[in-house]
Amino acid sequence: MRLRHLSVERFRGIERLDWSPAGRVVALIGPGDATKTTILDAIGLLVTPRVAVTFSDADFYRADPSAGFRIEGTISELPRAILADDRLGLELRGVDEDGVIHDEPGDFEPAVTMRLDVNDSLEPTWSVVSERNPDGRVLTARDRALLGVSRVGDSVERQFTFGRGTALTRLATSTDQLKHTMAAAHRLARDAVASADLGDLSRVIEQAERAAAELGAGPVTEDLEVRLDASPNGTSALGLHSNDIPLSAAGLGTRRLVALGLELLGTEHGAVLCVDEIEGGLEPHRVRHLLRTLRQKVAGKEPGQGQAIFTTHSAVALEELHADEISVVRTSNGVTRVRSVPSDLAAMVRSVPEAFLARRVLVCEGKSEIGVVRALDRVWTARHEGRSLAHRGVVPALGGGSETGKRAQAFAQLGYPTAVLADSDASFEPDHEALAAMGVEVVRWDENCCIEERAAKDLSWDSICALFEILVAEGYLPDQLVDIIAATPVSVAACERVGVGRTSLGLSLCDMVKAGFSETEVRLSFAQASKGKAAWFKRIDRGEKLGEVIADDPTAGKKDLGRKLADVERWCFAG
Amino acid sequence: MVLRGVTGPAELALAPRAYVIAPAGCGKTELIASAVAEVPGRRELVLTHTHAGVGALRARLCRREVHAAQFRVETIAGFALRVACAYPMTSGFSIGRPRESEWADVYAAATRVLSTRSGKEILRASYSGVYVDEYQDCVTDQHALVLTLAEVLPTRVLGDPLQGIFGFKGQKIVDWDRDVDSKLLCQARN
Repeated sequence: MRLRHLSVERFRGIERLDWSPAGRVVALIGPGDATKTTILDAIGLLVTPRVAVTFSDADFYRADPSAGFRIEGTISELPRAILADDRLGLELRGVDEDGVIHDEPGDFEPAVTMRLDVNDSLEPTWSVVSERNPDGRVLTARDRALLGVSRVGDSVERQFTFGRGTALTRLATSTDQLKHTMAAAHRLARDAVASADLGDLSRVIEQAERAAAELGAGPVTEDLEVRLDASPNGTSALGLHSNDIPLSAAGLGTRRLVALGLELLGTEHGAVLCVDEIEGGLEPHRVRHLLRTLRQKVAGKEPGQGQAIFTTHSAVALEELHADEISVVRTSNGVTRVRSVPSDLAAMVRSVPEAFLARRVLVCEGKSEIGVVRALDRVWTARHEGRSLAHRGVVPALGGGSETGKRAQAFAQLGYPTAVLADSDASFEPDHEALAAMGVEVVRWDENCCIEERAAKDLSWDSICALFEILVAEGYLPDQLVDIIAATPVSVAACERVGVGRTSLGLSLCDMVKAGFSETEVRLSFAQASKGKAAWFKRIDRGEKLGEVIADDPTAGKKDLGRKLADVERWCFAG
Repeated sequence: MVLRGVTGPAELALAPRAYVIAPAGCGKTELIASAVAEVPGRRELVLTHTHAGVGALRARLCRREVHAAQFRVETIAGFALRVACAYPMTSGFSIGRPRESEWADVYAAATRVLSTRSGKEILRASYSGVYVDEYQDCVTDQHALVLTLAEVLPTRVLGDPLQGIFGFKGQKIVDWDRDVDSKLLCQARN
């Protein structure tokens, strides 16, 4: 089965959503409260086989039930049984090769459009609808049960917990004797189950083991047994155990993988699997393995393999996914938009996965800028009542020199509020009009210079000397540093002017001044040396050091350097 | 009674294509009921021409205690109308209660729906096979509809060529030798 279209009106945080999922593997990403989980819940409720589903005012947009809410979804690759003329066979719609939905199936692939309406009486009505029958025909729980859609996430935990406060428990705890008797009875019962002939259950256990192993659940799940979960304080149930220990005591990731494996097992015929937070409790290698296995299961070569729709906050997951498997969810003023990442952005996803998980993206031309922004984050956080860039959801992303403009445009097109912090020398020539049209704010230094040159011009003399000392502390020998600085064109000219040899400039910037250089000549040659082959500050950690010096500098604030960084700060904390 | 392609109810139930010729009173209705009862776990579409016919078939099936999920008995007209009206754009027909003159279009309309990819999928999902009683009363449009069903489902027709009496307003009655024998059974042999 495959979800082809979903529309939502006034359900929880979504006032309006109109979405056609792109493929069989759909990873929903987006900042907190972008309504990713609400989308999964909407799909789950639309096809839940449960009869009694209770709703509350909190399920309506802005907790206002007066207009009701509506979830409508079109599903194709239907199980054969549902196509019968006494089920939904005469209520079908169709999906063509391009995924366009037609009201009648004809020679297209059959699909059904289902609707869940809940009005202010909180009574749910499920129906199957079409343009020829807009009011729909009531859909029974039996029909819904035929559609294999499972929602993994919240129910996993429930599967592994014990109920409390039952009548039996209250009785048992009322006297010690009863408690002991209950415990003894449990032990006896447990032994009885352990030695019982399990018949068909053994086959189920073997399947569960295989499913868990396939997803990489680990050795804990290799020797599963059926045992009575005995807990004198709670209810008991037949549950999965490994080496006499209930599986509910296994790690979070393992438990979720087993649950996921069981869901896949139970719906072999192309289920739509909805998983919240796919990476929950898993190490990077298990996340990668899970995604690869899932893709194989749902997007295999044969048609009708199914679909996996899940949320993720994991950069590792993004690295493993194909670009077009990633969909960005954004909600503003109740309108939720889901945009899938174009496949030509694959390299960018692998290069800056974290930025895709951001609320706002600050595309920085190079690593120095990223470092500087990180250092300034500490200062800005203090100035904004403890709100950090992480709190604001701002992630500095590497622009990668000449790619900077393209990356910023891509983020803006996907709906991320985006800004650019870039040098104004040759490497990045922004298409100002295009960027402005997309609302991208571009911050660049005055006078065609890179950040090293800007810093060398605008920082105090003490700060410039501090930068030199930072490099010494990083392990450069002072005479080496001066040697490299002396080789720059500005230095060579200064040497000629002063009439001093390149080898007799001393061991520090101050020594160079003593040798007859002007401070400006030293600043410029230091900047030229920094941005040259030596690339002293073109690393995130050195950029951070540079940022710390900028933050502590008493005069930078009044110069271009400080003014432009203040622009960045304003953008980060605006909106 | 002449059974072409089969020898009795058990074989009729399993035949991919078959037709039965028998005069009135020879137990065709009973033959259908016993063939449907023969294989449990299936769902057969049983078509006839009149509501009286539908009633008789239901009564026979009921008497044999065949589970209601195992069959659907309907007039050809009712079946065709149901299919045609479900998909008006595909069928080109959307009159829920056709007048006498409009009925002629219903069969071709239903045939258009059931000839599509989805129409065939619906048939396969709905029924294991088809029985058509009183086949001699089929007009050619109804015959074409049955041929469409026969492309997807095992189809057995029963009738008495000598009884062919209904012939409305210039509609051509099916020619047993030309249409039924050559089309339905030849397809079966293939």
